[in-house]
Amino acid sequence: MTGNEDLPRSQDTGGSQTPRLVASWLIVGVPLAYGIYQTISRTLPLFGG
Amino acid sequence: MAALTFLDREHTVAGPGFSRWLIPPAALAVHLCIGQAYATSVYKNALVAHFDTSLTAIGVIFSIAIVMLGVSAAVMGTWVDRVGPRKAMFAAACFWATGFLVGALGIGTDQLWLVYLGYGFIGGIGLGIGYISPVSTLIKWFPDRPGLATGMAIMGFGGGALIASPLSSQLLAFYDTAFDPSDPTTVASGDAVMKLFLTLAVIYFLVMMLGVFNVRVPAPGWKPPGFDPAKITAKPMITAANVSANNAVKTRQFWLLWTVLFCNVTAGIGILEQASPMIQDFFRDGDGVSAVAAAAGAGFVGLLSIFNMAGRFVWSSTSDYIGRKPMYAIYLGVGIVLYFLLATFGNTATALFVLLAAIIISFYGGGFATVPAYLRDLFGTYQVGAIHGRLLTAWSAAGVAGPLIINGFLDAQGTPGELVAADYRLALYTMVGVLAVGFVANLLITPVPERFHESEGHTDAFLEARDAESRGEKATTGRGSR
Repeated sequence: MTGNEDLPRSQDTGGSQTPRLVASWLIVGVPLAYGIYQTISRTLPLFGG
Repeated sequence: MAALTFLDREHTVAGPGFSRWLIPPAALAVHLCIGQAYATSVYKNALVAHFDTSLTAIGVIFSIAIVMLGVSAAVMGTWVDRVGPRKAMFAAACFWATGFLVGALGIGTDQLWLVYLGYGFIGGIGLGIGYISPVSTLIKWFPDRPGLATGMAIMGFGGGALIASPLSSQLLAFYDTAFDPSDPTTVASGDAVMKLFLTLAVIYFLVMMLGVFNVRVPAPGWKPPGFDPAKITAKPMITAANVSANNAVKTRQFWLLWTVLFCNVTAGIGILEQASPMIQDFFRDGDGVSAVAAAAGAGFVGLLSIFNMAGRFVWSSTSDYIGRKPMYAIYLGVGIVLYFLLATFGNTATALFVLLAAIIISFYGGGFATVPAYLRDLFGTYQVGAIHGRLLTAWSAAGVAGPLIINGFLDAQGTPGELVAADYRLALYTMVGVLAVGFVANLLITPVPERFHESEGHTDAFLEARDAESRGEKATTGRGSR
């Protein structure tokens, strides 16, 4: 049996989550953008760049 | 330990109003870090020089890590489903960072076996647990778009190498000023690689902790606004039932899907394994000179990495609309045609060669990212993480079979980098056959028979364990575990 609604849940949803969402996506998005930029730079010789 | 109470199950269930869009970056935080495993070539030569050994002996470090990925994902999958994503991600971060630390100790003390133990064995366990840790959670948060959700996370594994490769080069140049990453004749010192390992241990641990702190499982009964589960389960090939991991491996469907993944990965590795010399060989004239320079060959490898990553997100998301079985029919069926065209006409124009190879590799990546959603469709959400872990043994097997096939054929022709297009044909036509086997296996996949289904109560291994814990009982794990 699952789904006991009386069991405790984390208290983490007070207030706006927007700053947390932005920060979380930036922490993973910025390094990923850096990696993609570096890799695309490396592919330029393939296209005569 | 009181300091680790944040890992308890009670802190892992989301409160009301929690945004599910916090879960993909949590998953990405883990996958972007463990994706470093595909960027080991940056310091391979430095380790060969430091330990004064062969490239093969250094390659063993990576091989151990990949084998441990498969083994730990298969063995620890049930544990991951039971304890939840937070504890699993924390364990993955500890293993992954410890792997780097022990590896650094091995480099610092000139003990290669410590690098095997550290990066290979301990780090490999982190790879396996980390790879599967967010999958079932994403599927539960995105029941309306499971392909999109798992595509985002598994895209991170491909993206991790894109980040780690230039970052490691720059860090090596920072720690060893005599090393120039743009000059292939220079090699970084062992001391620089040791410091790189220490730095990566700290960076990866901190980034993975972002995942640990952000990840939550949805509360019982939660569903996205406007989502009607009946609409999803009304589609063919999507079950409303649940199958335990122990029962899943007894089904024909599991082994057919294992074959599908094995064939798709084997064919992709056929290109990835020899990408740089392959493009040069395809455009080599009678004088032995290639129209494609070595720098362009390296650029080709980079381009494939981007398509590998993009395919994980794009194709997996597409599978939410067209269905998982048709998606794999495209990966494998269109893959057959593309592979045949590559082998037969690939040497007529560089642009054609690059285009065909890029699409094939996007299918390779897509195959990895779509498989968790396919498993959800067939076996339900109950122990989908554990079933995924067991299915990943197909990846380990393909990691052995793919290079064996391609290198076996090419070794008989000569040395890659000195061959011509015709020398690749037999190997590539063999891969067409491998894809055909996978295509047939996919066609044979049907819904799982009812006798393997769990009873009504078994729908979520994590919540079941949490409920049992709150009652002071030991969690049961379903019909298949008795």
